[in-house]
Amino acid sequence: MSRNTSHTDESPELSFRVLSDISVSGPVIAFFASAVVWLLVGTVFGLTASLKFNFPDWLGSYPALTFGRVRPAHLNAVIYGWASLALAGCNTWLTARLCRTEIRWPKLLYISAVIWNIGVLYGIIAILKGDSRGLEWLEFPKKAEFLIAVAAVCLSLSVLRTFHARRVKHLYVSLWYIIASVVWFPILYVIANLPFYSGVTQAAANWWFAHNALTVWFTPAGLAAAYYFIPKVIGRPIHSYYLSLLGFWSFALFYNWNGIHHLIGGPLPTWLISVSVVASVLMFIPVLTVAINHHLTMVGHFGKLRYSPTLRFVVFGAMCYTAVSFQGSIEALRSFNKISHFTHYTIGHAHLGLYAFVTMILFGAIYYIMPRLTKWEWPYPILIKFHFWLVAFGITLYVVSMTIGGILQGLYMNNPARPFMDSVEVTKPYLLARSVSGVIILIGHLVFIYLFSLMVLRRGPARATPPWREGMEVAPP
Amino acid sequence: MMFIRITTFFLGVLATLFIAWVGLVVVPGIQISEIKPSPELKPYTEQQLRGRAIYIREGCIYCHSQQTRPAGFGADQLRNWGRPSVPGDYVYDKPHLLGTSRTGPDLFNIAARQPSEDWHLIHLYNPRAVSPGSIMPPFPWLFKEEDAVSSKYIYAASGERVVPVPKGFAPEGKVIIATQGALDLVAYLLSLDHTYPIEEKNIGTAGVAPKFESKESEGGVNGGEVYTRICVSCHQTNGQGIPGAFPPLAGSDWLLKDTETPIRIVIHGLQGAIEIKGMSYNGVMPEWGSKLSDEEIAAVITHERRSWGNSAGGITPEMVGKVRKETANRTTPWTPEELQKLSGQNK
Repeated sequence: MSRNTSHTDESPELSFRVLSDISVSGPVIAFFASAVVWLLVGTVFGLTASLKFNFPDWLGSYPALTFGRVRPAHLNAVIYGWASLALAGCNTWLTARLCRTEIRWPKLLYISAVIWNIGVLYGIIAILKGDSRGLEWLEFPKKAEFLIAVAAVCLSLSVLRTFHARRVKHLYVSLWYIIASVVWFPILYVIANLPFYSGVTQAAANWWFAHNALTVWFTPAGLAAAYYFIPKVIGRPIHSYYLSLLGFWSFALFYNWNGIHHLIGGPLPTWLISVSVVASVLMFIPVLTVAINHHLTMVGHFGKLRYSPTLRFVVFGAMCYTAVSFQGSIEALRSFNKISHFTHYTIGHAHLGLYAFVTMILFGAIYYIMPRLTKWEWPYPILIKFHFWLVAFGITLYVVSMTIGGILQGLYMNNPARPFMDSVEVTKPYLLARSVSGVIILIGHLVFIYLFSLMVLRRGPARATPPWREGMEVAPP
Repeated sequence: MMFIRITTFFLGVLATLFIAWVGLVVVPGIQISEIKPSPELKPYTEQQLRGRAIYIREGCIYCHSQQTRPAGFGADQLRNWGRPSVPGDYVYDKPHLLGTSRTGPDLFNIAARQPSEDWHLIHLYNPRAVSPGSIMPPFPWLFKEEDAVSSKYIYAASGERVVPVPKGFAPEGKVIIATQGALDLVAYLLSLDHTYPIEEKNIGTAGVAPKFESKESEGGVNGGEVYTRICVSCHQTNGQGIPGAFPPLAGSDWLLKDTETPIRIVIHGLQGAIEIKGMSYNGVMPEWGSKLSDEEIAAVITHERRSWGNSAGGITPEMVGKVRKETANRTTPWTPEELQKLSGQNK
C-alpha cells in the first residue's frame, strides 16, 4: 500500500522535515496570512453586531451596517475566511509532515488560496450590499459559493495527491481526520447547495449542512492538530491507539446525523428530529474517547504548559472540545432544548466550539508552524502571553455571559405570565458583558496580528531556538 | 501497522456522509413532498414577495423565527402565538425562513396579533417609538424625511403614505414618508397569518392544534392578559397610547362615555380623524371581532375601563353579544361620525 518505505528507513528524520517544510512554506504562509486578515475583519464585524444590541441606534442609518447584515458578515468572515483558511494551512502542513514527503501540486494550493479569498471577499460584500441568500451559513451568493467550492477542490486534490505519495507505512490518527475532511467538505458544500430544496425540506438541508460544516471541516482539523501537537510538544506517545480508532469511526458515524437538532419543536417529521437527538447523545462516545486520549496524554506534563505557547493554546482548545461536545449533547435533549432553543445560549455554545476549541487550537498550530516556515523565532514572548490570556479570558467571559443570559432569556420566554419584552430586558446586562469580552478579544487579536506580521517580515529581535524544543523534535508514534 | 485498508477507509468516509444526507434530507424530502399546502394557505402576492426579499436583505431572520411550537414546548401556545406550524404551511417558502433565534418574538402569526399598518411602519422607522426597551435596529432607509412645509395631509392627498411617527422620534420639522420598500415589507408581515385551521393528521410534531383562542376553558377570561397580548403594543402598558399615533385609553371619552361605543370599536375597528385631549389621530384601529370571543372582548374592555385611573362600569359578554348581533352585516370599520351619531341616539 505505501510506497518507498525503504527510502524512509534510510533517510535521516530531520531532512524529511526540512524538505516538507520548504515545500509547503509558500502556500501555508499564504493561507495563514490571509486567514489573519479575515480574523481581524470578522472580529470587528462581530464586535459591531454585539454593540448594536447595546446601542441599537448606533450607526443606525447605514444600511450596510445594520445588525441583520453585519451579523452574517461576521459569521462568514470568521467561518470561511479565518477558520477555513487557517485550517487549510494547518492541514496542508500536517499532511506533508505526517506523510514524510514534500507537498504535491503546490501551485494548486496557491490557486486555492487566491480563489478562496476572492470568494469570501465577494460574498461578504454581497451580504453587506443586501444580496444574502437568506440561509444561515449559506448566505453567500451562488457565484461566491462556486468559487469557494472550486478552491476547496483544489486544496483537496493537493492534499490527496500528497497522501498518495506518502512515505510512511503507518497512518497517524491526525491523517485520518484530515483525509476524511478533505474528501467530505467539497461534497457536503456542493450537495447542500443543490437547487431543489424548498419549504421545510430546505430547512432540514440547511441545518444538516450548518452542523455538518463542523462535523466534516472544523472539528476534524481541530482534532487532527490536537492529536499531533499534544504528543509532539510533550514528547510522549498518544495515550491509546485503539481509543483513537474507536473515536474516529464513532465520530464519522454519529456526528453526520446531528444537524436537525437545530429544529427541535419545529414543523418537521418527529422521527427526523428524534434521529438527530439520538445521534447527538451518541456523540458522548467519540467525545469521551477523544477526551480520555488527549487529557490522559497530558497527565503529568502540565508543567510544560508554562514553556510552550503551542501547548497552552492546544490544551485549552482540547479541553473546550470536551466541554462544548458535552454541552451540545445535553442541548439536544428536548427537556433542555425547550429552554435553550431560540436564545443566546446557542450563540455561547457556537463560540465555545468555533472559538474556544477550533480557533485556540489554530492559534497554537500557527505558533508551532510559523517558525519552521520562516526560520525565524517568535519575537516578544511576553506578547504571546498577553495574546493567550486576553483571548482566554475574553472567550470565557463571552461564553459564561451568553450561557447565563441565554438560560434566563429562555426561562422568561417560556413563562407566559411575563410579557415577551421581559425576555429582552433580562439579557441586557449579559449582552453588555458580551461586548466587553469582544473588546478584550479584539485587543488579543491585535497583539497576535502584530506578532504574526513580525514573523512574516522576519522582524523584531532575533531569538535562538528555545532549548525546550531541541529535545522534542520527535515524530508522533 | 495499517489500521485498515485504504479503500475501506475511503468507502467508510464517503458512506457515513452520504447515508446521513439520504437519511436526514432526501428521505424526509420525499415524505414532505407528498404533503399538500394547507388548504387556506395563499401563495404570496407580488408585493408580498418583494417585501419578503427585503426581510431577507435586512437579515430579520437572525432575531425572528417563523415557527410555532406545540403545547408543552415553550410558551408558544400559552402566549397565543398560534397553533403548531406544519410542513403544509411552508410550501410557498423559498428560501425557508424558519429561523433559530427569538431575540425578538416569533412572526409566524404576527398579522393576527398586530394587524395595524401604522404600527408596523412606525416600528420599522424606529422600534423604540412604539416599543420602549426594544433592541431592534431602525430601518430609516425605508423611509423619506421631507420638510413639513405645510400640513401633512397634502402628502396624503398626493398619495404618499405619511407615517405618524410620534414626537421626539422624528427630526424636528420633518414628515416621515414610507417608501415602496417599507410598504412592501409591511405587506409581507401582514401576510403572516397562519391561524386558519388544519386537518389533525397534518400535524407533524406531536401534540394537538389548539385554535387561536384564549384559555377560556380554565374558567374566567383575564382581561389584563388579553390586553397584554393584543392591545398593549399600540395603547401601551400605561394606557397612554403614543401621542399623535395611537390614542390613549386613560380618560378617553370613546372608551368611558357609554358602554356600546367601545364594544363597537373593538368588534369592527375604527377609521378616521378623531381628537382626544387636544391631540388629533388619524389612523386605523383593526377589527378584533373575528379573532376574540364575546367573553374576551367583555373582559378586555372592562379591564380598560377600570385601569389607569379609569373607573367606569363593567361590560358583560351578553352586552358584547347583543352588539355583535345588531351589527352582524357590517364589514368595514366604523367612522367617527357614525359612532358619534349612534352614541347620541342612545342618550
